[in-house]
Amino acid sequence: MREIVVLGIGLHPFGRFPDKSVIELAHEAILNALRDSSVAFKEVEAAYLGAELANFPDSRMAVQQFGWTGIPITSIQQACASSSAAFREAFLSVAAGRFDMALVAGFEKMDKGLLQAGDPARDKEFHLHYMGLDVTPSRVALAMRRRMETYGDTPETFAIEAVQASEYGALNQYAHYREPHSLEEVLKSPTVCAPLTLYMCCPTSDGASAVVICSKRKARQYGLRRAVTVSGYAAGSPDCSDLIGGPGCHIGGDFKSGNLTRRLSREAYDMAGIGPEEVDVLQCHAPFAGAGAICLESLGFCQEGEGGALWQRGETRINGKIPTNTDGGLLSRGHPLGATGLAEIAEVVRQLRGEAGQLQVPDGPRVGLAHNTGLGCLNMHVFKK
Amino acid sequence: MEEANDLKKMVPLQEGLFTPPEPDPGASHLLGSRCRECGSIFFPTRIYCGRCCTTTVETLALSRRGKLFSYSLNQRKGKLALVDVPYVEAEVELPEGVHVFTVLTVRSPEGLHLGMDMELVIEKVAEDNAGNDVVAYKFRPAS
Repeated sequence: MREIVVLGIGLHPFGRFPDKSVIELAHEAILNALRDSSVAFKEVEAAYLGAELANFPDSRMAVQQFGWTGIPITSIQQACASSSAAFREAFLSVAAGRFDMALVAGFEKMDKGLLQAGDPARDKEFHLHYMGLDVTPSRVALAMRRRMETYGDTPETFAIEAVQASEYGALNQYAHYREPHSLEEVLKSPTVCAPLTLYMCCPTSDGASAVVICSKRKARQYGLRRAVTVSGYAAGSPDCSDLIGGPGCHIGGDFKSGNLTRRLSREAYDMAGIGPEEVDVLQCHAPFAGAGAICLESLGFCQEGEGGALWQRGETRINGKIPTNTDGGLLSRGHPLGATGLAEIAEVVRQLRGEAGQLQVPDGPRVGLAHNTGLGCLNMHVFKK
Repeated sequence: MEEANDLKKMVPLQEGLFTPPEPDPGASHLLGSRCRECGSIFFPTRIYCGRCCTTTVETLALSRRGKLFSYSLNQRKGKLALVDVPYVEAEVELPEGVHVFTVLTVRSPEGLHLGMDMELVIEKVAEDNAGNDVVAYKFRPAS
């Protein structure tokens, strides 16, 4: 496979934008990515888009508003991991030599409140909606309760993730939530699913994200100084070891055991020729406080049960051992499903370029990991400067 | 009224999740699938073994009792849910090794501790247009 680089990144701020269409959100993110990479839209040879709630006509218009150049446009729906899946497919196509340059974008406009995955009118599996078994934070809360019993974690152990997220979100101009919260404020916010409180749950958001990728050879004409190499990836769905928790065992993502993350991270590390100890900055998919601890363990940054301690000791802060979710993560940056995967990738790129401002990880990080899970799926990518 | 009650039936919310609730819902079992090849057991039932990917599965009645693996107190519910908040969602581990996500009949986590014995309950969750009781499975602390 050819070497592939990220040439440019762009975001539309995450938050609530009732007056903007999803096409307008995507416009700003794509325009920013094109400008950041000094690429004209006419040079784009293929577009890959990720959205869960938006549909193909939205994706087509998001691209064609820049011009009708006749390129292939591929829209991928993969729950919370839609745009990392779009990135993966773009990466593989360019790496295989089919195109030299591709645009990837993710976008979403969302309603407030709980998500409903699946429809009982279409699949009888979803009788669980009637039974009250479809509350995503509840499934994560079950995992948290288990950790409290098994490892001695406490609500404070989990809440510290939300405190750090709010601190970093306040410094990120693209974040949905810009207000720092104290530990006490996080714990005293209304209960959603005990032990999870409101501030320990990610918001549903509007937002858009985009990147331009191209072959390293082609990238030379734009200058490689800010280019970041895509050096590994892994993708998959849970195997049978995760099927024992039915019904609806896919609800709640990979937070029951971290099995999927554990399995795929080895593949991604192997392809990139690294181990977890070489990762300088991590964006992990942690929509609920406590999920970050499970991610650190299953990604190999510590032993089982030690994830909470890493957060508590501040090892996840920008000057810590494994800086994690340096832009506020899903908890504060927000979670417009289709835009999240590329926002993680954009943040890794920003960090590896040394352009993260007040949130910059010190001493020139060289290796970054973006980990994006959706309901029953996962994509992760390793980047090197 | 007596007559109406006699005609009233118990209708499962979803066919195939548990053995018929009549005449005695207290004798109902959840239904799972066991693979004859690899021994894996699943709940709910499956057509194909999740591990072997073959149709070598047979239906079996799962134990009515299990252990509380975890629980959560929910102050929010989905749009379609036939429960009132707050309610307790739980994960119960059956002796067969199968985990079941379920709502508990108790409305507060007071007195719950992981590992405690739980038992299956078939309980009314709604009424259908014909006046029948629509029933689903829940669990409660075992007596």
